[in-house]
Amino acid sequence: MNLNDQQLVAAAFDGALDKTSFRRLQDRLLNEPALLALYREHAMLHHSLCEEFEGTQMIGRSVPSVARTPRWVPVLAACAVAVAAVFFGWQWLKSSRPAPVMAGCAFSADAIVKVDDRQALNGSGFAVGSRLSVERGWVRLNLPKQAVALVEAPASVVFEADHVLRFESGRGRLHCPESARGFTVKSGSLVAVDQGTDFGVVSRPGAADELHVFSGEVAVNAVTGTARAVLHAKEAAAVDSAGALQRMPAREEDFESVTPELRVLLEDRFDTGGPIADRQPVVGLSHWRLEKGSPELKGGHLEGTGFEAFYSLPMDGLTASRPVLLVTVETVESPSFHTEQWAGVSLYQEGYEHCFFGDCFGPEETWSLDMKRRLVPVPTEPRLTGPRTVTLRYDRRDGTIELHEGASAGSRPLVRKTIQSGLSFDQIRIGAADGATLAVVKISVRAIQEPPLR
Amino acid sequence: MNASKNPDEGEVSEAFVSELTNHQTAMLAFIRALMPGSSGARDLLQEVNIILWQKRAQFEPGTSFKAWSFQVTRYHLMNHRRRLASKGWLVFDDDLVERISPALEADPGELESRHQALNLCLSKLRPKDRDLLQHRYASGAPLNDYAKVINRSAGTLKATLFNLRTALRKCIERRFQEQGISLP
Repeated sequence: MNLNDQQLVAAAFDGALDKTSFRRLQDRLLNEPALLALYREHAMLHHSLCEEFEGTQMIGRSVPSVARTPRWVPVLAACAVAVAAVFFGWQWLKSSRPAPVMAGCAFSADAIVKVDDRQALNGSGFAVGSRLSVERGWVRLNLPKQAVALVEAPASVVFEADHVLRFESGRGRLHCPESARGFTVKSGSLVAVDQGTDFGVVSRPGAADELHVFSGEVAVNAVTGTARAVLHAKEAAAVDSAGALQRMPAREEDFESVTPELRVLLEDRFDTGGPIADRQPVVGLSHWRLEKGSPELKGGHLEGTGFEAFYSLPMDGLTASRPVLLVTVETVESPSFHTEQWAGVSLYQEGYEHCFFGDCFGPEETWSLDMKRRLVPVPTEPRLTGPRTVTLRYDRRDGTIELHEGASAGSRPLVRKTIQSGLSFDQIRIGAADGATLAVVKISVRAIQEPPLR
Repeated sequence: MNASKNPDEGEVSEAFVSELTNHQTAMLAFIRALMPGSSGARDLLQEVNIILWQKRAQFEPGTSFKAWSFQVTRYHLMNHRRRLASKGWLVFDDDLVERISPALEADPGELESRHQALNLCLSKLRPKDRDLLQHRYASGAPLNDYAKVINRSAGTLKATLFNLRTALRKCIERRFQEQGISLP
């Protein structure tokens, strides 16, 4: 093995290879067993050195003893404890014995979470006295008496008592049904006592903490001084460390819902409401923008020929923790859905149409999926015709795109293809070309969490 | 896990937890080997742990946990290549991962032996060389910063690191030979 090969492999582990060199290394590893053996040696040494030194002192500090216990012993011990905690938490959830004071934890797919500075696994328990650190994603805590807290990263929360959560930092939303009345949330500057409601808290060390009430009532007290208030729905207050309390409107949109696995980005039913131009949907922060034609609301649906209506989707709709998009459209009979022109729904990102589903341009009279970077639309199999409820499913993790009949995406798609992964889609369009007609009763766009890749 | 074969789910889960714990280091070494130069191996291990826990019912006691868990790790890496690449991490192609993975898998026992040998070899180094290794593997900060602190050029440190790692590899190899253990 020559020096250059050793330097090549060493550079790989130092992160010093560019893509071209990395590609060359890959090609050679495939064909040169001697290089692969050298690579393995470097990999094992790299791992051992990382284990020996990772997390130890930085520049200017003393060097640890090299004769001490291997670093993976405490790491393994920590893992064992964390995993054992999961196991016993799980056992606890399974068993019928009286529940200790513990909250169940559910994580987002991308979450990085520690309980008392140890990595925690999804499904693990969170006992009174413990500190939960959410470094990425979100954690839903199922608290005693059916209270639910949704903690968003970055956040640090201490479970002080069965009815008390302390937000050391970060943002969270709480749902406290009547059974959990009196549930208390503390932060550095405020104490909030629930009176049967939904509310959010923001804890910012060094700045004012905030309490936002979405429904019901919450009593808030400043930690310093005597300022206090009872906040009602849509009211909020900021409380600083000096005890000053300042009222303001609540911003519910700043907080995740307590069911963050699903976020409805758009839902509109065309059996009621005004015309499509500037129309506010039933659910959605934006409004419809009519760019062509004049579709009409009639007979409980929207119907138009030669029209294009756009809706801007939120930028943070599809995320790492909610990577799957479901677009469901319910159509009814129209005079000319299947034509040589097109009628259907498109998804856009940055002005580029990435996919279309509906009746595609061309003589085929069937629902189809048109992936705009491919030449030919793919018809459903079996062929689907006429007024239908159809759901498009896109998984941004691997770019899988599917069409399903019905309002959900089951395991048997009518079409399954792949487009670019990582898309987030910023616009949706409904429309039809001149000579074709689209008649829509309902449309919904949802982002969902779906951990296992298919 | 088949409930009819394993009526005591608790015992099986205990065995699962034990296997998962025992293979943490080997899984981490495997991930590091497949993502050279990336700093996110521990994050990825955490993701794989969650998947393994969610799939625990699919693991059949008595079969090789290592084979199963490494396969899940491989698939996870391959499925998330684009996400990892977007972070600037270099991950091997699927085909290469499939073909070289067997060569890169290490048993927990081998890693333990290697680490013990490394400890002995590190003890023979000069303090300033150990400091350099510590800087490289502890801080992740650019070598230039450290070069300024100790008033040496980054190029010299890079070359020193290269020589140190070569010396450590040879030292570990010798330790294995002395103990009559053959390296895989």
